[in-house]
Amino acid sequence: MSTRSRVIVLSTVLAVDLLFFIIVGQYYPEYFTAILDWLPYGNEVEAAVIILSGLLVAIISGILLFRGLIGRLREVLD
Amino acid sequence: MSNEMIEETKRESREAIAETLPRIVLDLSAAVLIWLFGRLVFLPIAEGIDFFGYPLPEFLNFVILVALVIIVFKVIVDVRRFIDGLAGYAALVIGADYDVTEQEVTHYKTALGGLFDVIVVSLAYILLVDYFSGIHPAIAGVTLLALVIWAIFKLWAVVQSISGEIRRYTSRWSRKALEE
Repeated sequence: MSTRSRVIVLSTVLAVDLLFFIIVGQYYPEYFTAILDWLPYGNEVEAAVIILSGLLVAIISGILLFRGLIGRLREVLD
Repeated sequence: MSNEMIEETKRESREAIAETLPRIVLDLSAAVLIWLFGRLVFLPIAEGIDFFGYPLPEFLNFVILVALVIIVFKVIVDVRRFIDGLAGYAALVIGADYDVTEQEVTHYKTALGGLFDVIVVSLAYILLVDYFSGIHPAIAGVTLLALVIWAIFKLWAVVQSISGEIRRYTSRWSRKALEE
């Protein structure tokens, strides 16, 4: 995968992840509760796991995105 | 310093600056981005949720803190390399051309490196303090105390190296004045 397409994929992942938690988590919490009710385990643990996974995805994709940007910058400068 | 050594120092300095500066800027941007989405997106949602009997916001604070600390350490390593390059360049530009000693370059490295270390670590503390307090308020206090003591010693080393340079220039100037 080229640096350019990696940057595009990672920025899309980060944007979708953040938009999901901003829109569903903060502005429409009833949808978030509906998703939790739909899942088979206890709501509290599910919510914690979803938020934690969202945070980990955001951190990892954020770090990888900036590493990709550094690579892209090097390619442009070279 | 011979002409070849000066040219090599200049080239190495330029390369170090060109290589590390974009990395520092982008790593800092990543740190700020993680700080922002941690504070604005994930921590507000996690309020009031427990994770196996442990408050989720404290757990998230810890995860974000670990990520930020890793990035900050990486930035500090890059800043050291950037400063080495900048100090070498500064010694050649500020000092008289082709009359620069290795000791002068070392003094500039110590002075600039110390100053930038204090600035970077203070900025890193500002970035991390909310997350330290989120885990336990005492962690922020103890870290600040350690930071102040470390900064005093670091600035003392900076003053020592600058005064070494000033002493060298003053003695050279007085020698010239006495000769005239």
